[in-house]
Amino acid sequence: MFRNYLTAALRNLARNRLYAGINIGGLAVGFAAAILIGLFVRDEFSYESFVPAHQHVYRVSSFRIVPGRSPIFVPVVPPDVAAWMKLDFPGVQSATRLASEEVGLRHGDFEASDYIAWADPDVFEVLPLQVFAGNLRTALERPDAIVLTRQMARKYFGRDNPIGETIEINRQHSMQVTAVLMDLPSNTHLETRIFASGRAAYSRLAVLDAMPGAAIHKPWDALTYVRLSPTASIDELARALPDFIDRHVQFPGADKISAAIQLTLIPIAAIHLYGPGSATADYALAAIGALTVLLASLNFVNLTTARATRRAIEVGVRKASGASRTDLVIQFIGESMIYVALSMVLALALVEVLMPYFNAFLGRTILFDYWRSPDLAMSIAGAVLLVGTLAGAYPAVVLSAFPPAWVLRNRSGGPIGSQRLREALVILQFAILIGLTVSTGVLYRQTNFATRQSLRLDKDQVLLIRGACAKAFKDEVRGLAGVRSAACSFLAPTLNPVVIPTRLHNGQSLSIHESAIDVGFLELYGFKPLAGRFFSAAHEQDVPPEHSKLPLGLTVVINETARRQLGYASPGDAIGQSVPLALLRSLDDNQVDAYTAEIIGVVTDFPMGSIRDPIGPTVFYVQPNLFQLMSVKLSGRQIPETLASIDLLWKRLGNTRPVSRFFFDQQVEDTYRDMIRQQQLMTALETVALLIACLGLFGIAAFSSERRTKEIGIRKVMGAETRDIMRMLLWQFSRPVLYGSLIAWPVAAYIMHRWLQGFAYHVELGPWLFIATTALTLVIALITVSAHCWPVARAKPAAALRYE
Amino acid sequence: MLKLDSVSKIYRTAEVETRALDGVSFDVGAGEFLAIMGPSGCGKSTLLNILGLLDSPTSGVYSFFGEDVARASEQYLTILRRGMVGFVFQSFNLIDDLNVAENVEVALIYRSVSGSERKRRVAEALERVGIAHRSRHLPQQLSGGQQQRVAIARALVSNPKLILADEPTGNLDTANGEAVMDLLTGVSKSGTTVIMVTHSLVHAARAQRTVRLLDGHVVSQTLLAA
Repeated sequence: MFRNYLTAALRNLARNRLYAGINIGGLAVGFAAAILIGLFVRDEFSYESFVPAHQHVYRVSSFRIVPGRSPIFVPVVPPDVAAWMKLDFPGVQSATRLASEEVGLRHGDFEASDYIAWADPDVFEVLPLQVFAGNLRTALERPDAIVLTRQMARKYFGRDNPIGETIEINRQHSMQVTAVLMDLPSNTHLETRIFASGRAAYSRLAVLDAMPGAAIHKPWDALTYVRLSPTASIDELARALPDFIDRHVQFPGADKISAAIQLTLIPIAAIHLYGPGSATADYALAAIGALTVLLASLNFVNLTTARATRRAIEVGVRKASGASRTDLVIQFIGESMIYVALSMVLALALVEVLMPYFNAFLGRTILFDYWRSPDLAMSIAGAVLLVGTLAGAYPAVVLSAFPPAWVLRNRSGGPIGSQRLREALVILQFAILIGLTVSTGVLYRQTNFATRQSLRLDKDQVLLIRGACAKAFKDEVRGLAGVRSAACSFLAPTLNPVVIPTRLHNGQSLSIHESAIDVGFLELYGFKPLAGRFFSAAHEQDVPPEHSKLPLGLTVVINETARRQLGYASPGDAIGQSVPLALLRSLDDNQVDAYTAEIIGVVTDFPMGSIRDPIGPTVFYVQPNLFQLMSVKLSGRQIPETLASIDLLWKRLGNTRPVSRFFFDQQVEDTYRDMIRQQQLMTALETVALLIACLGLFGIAAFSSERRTKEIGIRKVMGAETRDIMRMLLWQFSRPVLYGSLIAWPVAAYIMHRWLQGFAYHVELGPWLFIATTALTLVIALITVSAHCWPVARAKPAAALRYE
Repeated sequence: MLKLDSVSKIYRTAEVETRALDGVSFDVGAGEFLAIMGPSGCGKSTLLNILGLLDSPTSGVYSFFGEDVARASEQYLTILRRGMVGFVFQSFNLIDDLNVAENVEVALIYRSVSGSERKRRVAEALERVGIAHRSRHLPQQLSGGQQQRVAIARALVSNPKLILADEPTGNLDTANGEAVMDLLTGVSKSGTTVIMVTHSLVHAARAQRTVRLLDGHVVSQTLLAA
């Protein structure tokens, strides 16, 4: 019996290649898109799974509680927290720290710049990474020990196992390779591939530990990790954290530190999801992947049902021969399974071809090893069964319902299921497509806004150089032919500045954003004072003496938001006024000093962070002690030569590590990386959805035109012209687009409105995007169907009437 | 063997009621060759469908081998059709995706017949109608007469007690039509009851009895010379 079914199915497929191609092709594209999205989401939710018992490992991070704004997430905590937690909590099996630093590394003639992590010797107890060579338990005991991944070993030594060999840090310190790690997979939050012993006297950890003074004043430079015992209660531990921090830390100006700083324990598998909306975005992507499969399945159901009339005779004969309805349902669901299975095979091939590009786009190494991974293979098989059954069920039920008597007499299918239901399916398809397109459009506009207009500054040809603010270097760079100006700062725009609560003269508490900048910084980025002036070397009190940690007579420039919140009606009113501040003293400690500063100028608002947060009241002041970044405005001519000159200058001035420089656009991209990637993924998915919808429409149009050939012939005999027929046919396919819009518009508007509310600054949801999307979809749909409608509409009536 | 007693069939839509059969009563004996004649729209095909258990009467009694099936469920009718009834249609109604042997086999796959037994019976049926040499051809590759032979083989392969033929020669030329009638006559002589709807007086003369319908009524029954 099943051989008979299979034979009929395969021969039917071979005889109707166009429709089979559309059905299989559409499903294959849908499956491929869903598989790629599924692999990405699976990767997202499988971070750190290569770390044994990773569910017991947490990173200790914190939130700064600042009045007047949402808590600020800070990945790090005071460097002594690790040791305190081990002492205070028996449930903490081990605790360790990683302090990242960009250094120059040299072995023989090969030299490069990389981030290393200075690590406590017990780091591999907390994070038991997979070893390639050596013993990780003792690998970092020696102060001069260094551990690399195989990839780094090949980079510096040209081979996988250089144990015993030495490598220089910043051309100053010799370290010996004591172990080699297996390469880390891409689904890890760990960015470093090189671990160096924190016992080295020159390591960042040792410097932190050796600092005198209260822990709260030590720079929070180290990431802290703890491994809990399997029986420890994470909830109990979390509840005990406020008392814990109060016991160990006293913060000047606050009753309890826990009012200003809240410690939090983040499972390491969730660290990468700790950006704004990251997990939500992953769920949304998963939902869109499912929608893509739904779209392709709707196509399949519609096409199969519409063409069911061609199988009517077969159904009649089989029923007359004694087939029950169940026999026929099984037969046609089985046929659907064959189509779906063929589509899946094609989809797997497509995914194999696309994986390298997909991984390159994501910057990951996701494996598509379904032949080795039982859960992946089961998911694929399950998808075939599920989609084959669900998508095949309706056509099977429709086909098996053909009344044999009617069918065999009339040689046609008669009522082929519900016409209304089929139209509803097409409308639903277009609703999904239009909704996706509108969402993609909004995402694109917001991403564009975030990376361009929202910056409100002139970022063209701006180069950023990290850690480069020695005066000598700055002066030399300014003198280069291709350089217009150079100025230093603590951080670049698009990175959050320091936020410190301040109490004003009138008792009002204000959270001031503080930004240490150089003379000429604001001018470099194209700003002009709204009132007063910017900093100038000619004014002594603007610039503290060199190497002094404390400013002289402090002058500040404030932004418009600060001006308003300080109570000045206009920019001019603020000039010459004084404002009390608590300023960070230096990079070496978290000490703050109280000042009364004079306002010399007002600058327009611009974001000093992501546009998800509102621009806060910001105070700019000159403090070279805090500078760690140089902005260089290039003239735009001879850029490669200018960059080469900068590199030479850097070396000439005795810097031991290679220069780390990048254009400002890169900084912006890093800030909005999640949004840019989401936008690109959505665009790709939306294109896939459009392709599937057009394929389906093409098939339906072909079939519909064929079916109506006799009707069209009669209409032409009655006097209809070609354009009348075209209008009739095109209206048939315009309706689903228009009705689909009515469904999609409010849903998309609601969802995108909610998403945009997560940004302090965002584009407006105007009606034109919705209208343009519908119009574009309509045009594409009509072009797609015209290929069939036009020849049919032009055919001679006699040819159409002879069709029967 | 078959007995119709005041059988009526009414088709109702929202606007229109059509009385296709109105109080039809007659018997059909075992092994009989019966012809049904009448003008277009008189209810011939409806009557055939009821006789072949493809449709149910609106009212009346239909006794099928001693069992009243007028109110039987679709499922029960399906079971009855298996093994008891074979059909031959005017338009042949072969499945385009199956070859000749596979088309004939369709009549057996819904019954509990083993693969080897099916093969044997299909070969036998094809031999009987003289089309065995085309067993692997597709319907599109056959002439009208050849397709109708295949349809007859399909009707015969399950050894039914009853064969219903709805204008089996309607789409055939004279020679092929005669050949098909020879086959049906032979089938009847071997003991199978054959009921045939036809427009052709010549072909109706091959039957033992002719029932004439007009507007859903039986207007006459004519016994023909043996």
